[in-house]
Amino acid sequence: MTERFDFIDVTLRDAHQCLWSTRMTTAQMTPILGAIDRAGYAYINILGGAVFDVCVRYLQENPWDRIGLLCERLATPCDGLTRGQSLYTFELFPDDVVALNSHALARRGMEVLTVYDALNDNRNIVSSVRSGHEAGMKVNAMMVYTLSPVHTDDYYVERVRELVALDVDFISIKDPTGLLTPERGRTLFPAVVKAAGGIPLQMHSHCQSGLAPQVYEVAIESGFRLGYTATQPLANGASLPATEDVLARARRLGVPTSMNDDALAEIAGYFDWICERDDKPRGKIMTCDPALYEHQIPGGMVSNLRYQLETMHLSHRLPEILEEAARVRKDLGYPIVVSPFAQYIVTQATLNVVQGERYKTIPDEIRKYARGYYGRLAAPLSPAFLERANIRDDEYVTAAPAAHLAPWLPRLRAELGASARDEDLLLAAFYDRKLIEPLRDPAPQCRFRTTPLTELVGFLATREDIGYARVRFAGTDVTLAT
Amino acid sequence: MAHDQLTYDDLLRIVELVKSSDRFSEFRLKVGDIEVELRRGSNAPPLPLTPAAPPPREGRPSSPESSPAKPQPAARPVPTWPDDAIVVRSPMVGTFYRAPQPGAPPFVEPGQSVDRDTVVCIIEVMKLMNSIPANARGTVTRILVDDAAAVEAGQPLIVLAPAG
Amino acid sequence: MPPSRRFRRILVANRGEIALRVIRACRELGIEAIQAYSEADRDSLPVALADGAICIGPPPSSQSYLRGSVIIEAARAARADAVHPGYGFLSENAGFAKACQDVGIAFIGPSARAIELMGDKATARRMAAEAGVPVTPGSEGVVADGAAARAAAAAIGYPVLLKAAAGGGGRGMRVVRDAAEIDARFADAAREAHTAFGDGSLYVERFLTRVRHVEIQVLADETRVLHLGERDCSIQRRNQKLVEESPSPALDADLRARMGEAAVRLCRHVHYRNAGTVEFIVDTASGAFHFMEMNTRVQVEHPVSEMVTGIDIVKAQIAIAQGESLPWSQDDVRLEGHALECRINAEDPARDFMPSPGTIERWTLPGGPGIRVDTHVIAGTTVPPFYDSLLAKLLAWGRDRGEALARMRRALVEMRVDGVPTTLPFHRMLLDDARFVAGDVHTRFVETELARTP
Repeated sequence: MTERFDFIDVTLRDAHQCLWSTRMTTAQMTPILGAIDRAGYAYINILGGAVFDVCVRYLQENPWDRIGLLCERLATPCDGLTRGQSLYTFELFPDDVVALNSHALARRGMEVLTVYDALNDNRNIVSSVRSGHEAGMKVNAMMVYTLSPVHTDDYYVERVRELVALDVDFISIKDPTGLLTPERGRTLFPAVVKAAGGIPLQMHSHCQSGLAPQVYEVAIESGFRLGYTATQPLANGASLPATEDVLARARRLGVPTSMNDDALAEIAGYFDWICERDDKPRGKIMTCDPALYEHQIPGGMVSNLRYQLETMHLSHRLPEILEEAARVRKDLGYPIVVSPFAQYIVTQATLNVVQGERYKTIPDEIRKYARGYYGRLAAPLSPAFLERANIRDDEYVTAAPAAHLAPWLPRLRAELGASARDEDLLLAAFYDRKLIEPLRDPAPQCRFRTTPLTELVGFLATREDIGYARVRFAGTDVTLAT
Repeated sequence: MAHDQLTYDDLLRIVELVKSSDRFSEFRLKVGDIEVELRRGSNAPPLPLTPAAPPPREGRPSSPESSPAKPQPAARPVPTWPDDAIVVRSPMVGTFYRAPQPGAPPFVEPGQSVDRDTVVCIIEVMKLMNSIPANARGTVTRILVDDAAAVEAGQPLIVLAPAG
Repeated sequence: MPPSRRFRRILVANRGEIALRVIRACRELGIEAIQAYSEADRDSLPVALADGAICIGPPPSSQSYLRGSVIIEAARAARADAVHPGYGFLSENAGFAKACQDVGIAFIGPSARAIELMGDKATARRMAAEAGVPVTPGSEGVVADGAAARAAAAAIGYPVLLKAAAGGGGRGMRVVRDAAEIDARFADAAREAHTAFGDGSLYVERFLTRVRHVEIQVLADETRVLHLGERDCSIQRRNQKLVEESPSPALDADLRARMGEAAVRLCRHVHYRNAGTVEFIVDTASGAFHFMEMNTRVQVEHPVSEMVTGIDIVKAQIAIAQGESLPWSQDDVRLEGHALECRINAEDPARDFMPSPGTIERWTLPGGPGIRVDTHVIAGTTVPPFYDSLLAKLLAWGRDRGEALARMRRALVEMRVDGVPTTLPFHRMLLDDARFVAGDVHTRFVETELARTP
């Protein structure tokens, strides 16, 4: 049993990444920051790969400004997630860009850098860990959980050892598809806690199977010190467990926590309202579907896939594609079904199904993966794949993926000028110039406070059909008239 | 559920009420302990005037004989007709009907000639139908009121050109 | 039996004094009343006194109080468990009752089936006959044309009355004195019935003169039917009631019991639930009574029965709709004292009772021992032209008829109304009429004899 259990809020990041396609705006966040600070969270997760992308491509918000605003406004330390050597995208970046990113985050006020590699090839997080520490941040290294014959308890114990050697401040288990079960947890969790020496363990699991809250309970019992959770309306389903739920379990186990129920209720009420006002979905508790353990595709990705198939008029083939995905995964040596490989598996499965012939077309990304370009594979490739892939011996990569990448900063500095800020260099490293232009516009004003009454007045004002409204209760009498 | 502040739960329930009552132009209903009064569109009550003038009543027939001090409702365009025209007026306040029953042909149409006893319309008052005769010989030239419209006592209804 | 369903909220789908009556009953039972109103009733007393209110349309009844679908939507928006339809409007509309049932909203009244059965006058007569209730000699069902009417009349005996099957209120009705006039009268009556009710079907009944209109109030729950005695409504004009009283001066205990039992038998036969009134014609000469029709709703004059029995009929309606059992047996129901009701309408007796909407400037109500006034009117109320002309029901109770009359006389003098003409002068005159005071009246009294006051 752990001595105490702390919470990391994902409401402002992972929750809406799973449920709203990452579309939560800064303006939706700012009025509730005060309550989030009062809730007693140890850390607030405010950044992850998709956030950068969505800010730039869809919301036309400067992601650095959002990071800066949140870190400044939140007294609670903030946590940002990157994909190790891939940072916020699926490409590989050279170490100089990774280091610059760590420093830029720290300068904006980020206090914890959370990193993971999609293949659990920890060579890909070394530069992040080092530069994170250099920049004064704590580092949380995540191992991605998956089910396969090779991803045994021993496999994870070995990974933990690698991370201990890197001197990270936290070690996390990240379960993007909700594959963890309490049974597995009972063997795996004590093993990793033990292997971690004194380094605190964090739990991060999604709720597609409906078992995550129980998994968190087993984690608490096994000695995990922290867990990632979300406010009730944005919890469950493809998102993470509800803070309220895990908190109740911790209390039942008699484990001390620091959470404030009133603040949590205010946060939950606020987001419940935002879902109604802005027509956004709430998380729904799911029951265990055995197929999940087969295809393992993470929550948000299934809905994205469904959407994409609809635009191609192929939505009726979704079940076939998910089945094929399980087979593709095996053929490819059990890459973990998380970005970017989840996308690759899904794309390959779609191609296999639509073309009617397996591996007739193999996208370049997948060839690169197969060659070891992104990192060490967990298991060998299958003959079925190898036959069609025709990879030459000299094409295989065994060195660390970033080892072959030359630094980018000199070129970027040359392009953008010596006076270019680090943040602009990084944006240029990630995105096309066309996408970055609109970000120069000043961000719209955000409100930092709201109340249900304010929201009611706002709501009534948007209803053009209403010419007169009066609301009376207790000592309040509000009249709105056009 | 007595409390001083509106909660998000209250807010959601109020919003649900507002949405589900979409088709009602006005209401006063409670959500728990919270009273919500709403008017949509042109039903919004008029803004308060200076104390001297009584508030105008929009869209309702007024009774001229009982309250002469009230300002008239928004002026209707004043109809005109030749000096020698005969005007059939409503003997009472009520509802004007052009036909004996809905869907039936109207009593009279413009161009039709009428006698003293020809019924030209019905004025309905408190569910009793009153057939109104032309009380003159002539030809119908204009019908001034829409079917099922509210009319006041003395209001011109139908204009006749007198028989030569 | 505890209620199977307790109402938290009732939508009042009517207006005027009956709306206020229902709101009062709800208040006493701790039930919230939500008033559905037309734009013409926005400033009315029921809207002000209800716990909530929802506007269901513009002034004309056809666009508001008669729009069943809108009323049901209003009930849902207001989260009402039940609808009270009052009297008139949709109270006897079987389609509306069924529509409420279909969406799980209780209709405070009988079943749609009972409304349907008893709403058709010809079917109702047949039900009465089946239940062994005497009916006015008449045709079996509707007669298709003048020839069929003539055949029926020959069997019944002249004079006969041609009556509309689909409605009442005196419309679609013609007296026929002999076979020669039956074709013309048939055509007239059929056309008028079609205009009024959309259905020109007629049936034939023996026309009885010098009859009294005596009705029996019934209340029925899941298992039992009770009657609350009679109301004598013989003071009428053009088939509109003006004055009602209980007990009837023309009934003795034996006749009362027989009529009560007949009404109860009829209700059992059609599985009637909730409140209703069975109307009879009583032949003053022979003392025989004949079924006329049944009103499957609460009636305007229900307070008369309330005053002599002490039973709150509207609260009983709500209790029955909630599935409760009535707490009385027939033996518990006793008529105590005597009660009278005068309907004060906005009509000018000097001008043939012409309806006179307008604004009421002065409105002084009577009071004191034994006086009850049911009204929605306050000083300043503008009486709209879109609905009926009833302003107030003035009731008087006394230990005997004499005291009730004295109190009513007093109350009629105390009551002052300025702004619109009312039927007060008529009632004052009636209460002084020797024949009325003697209790010697019949249904044509007002039209034929009162006019010829010596």
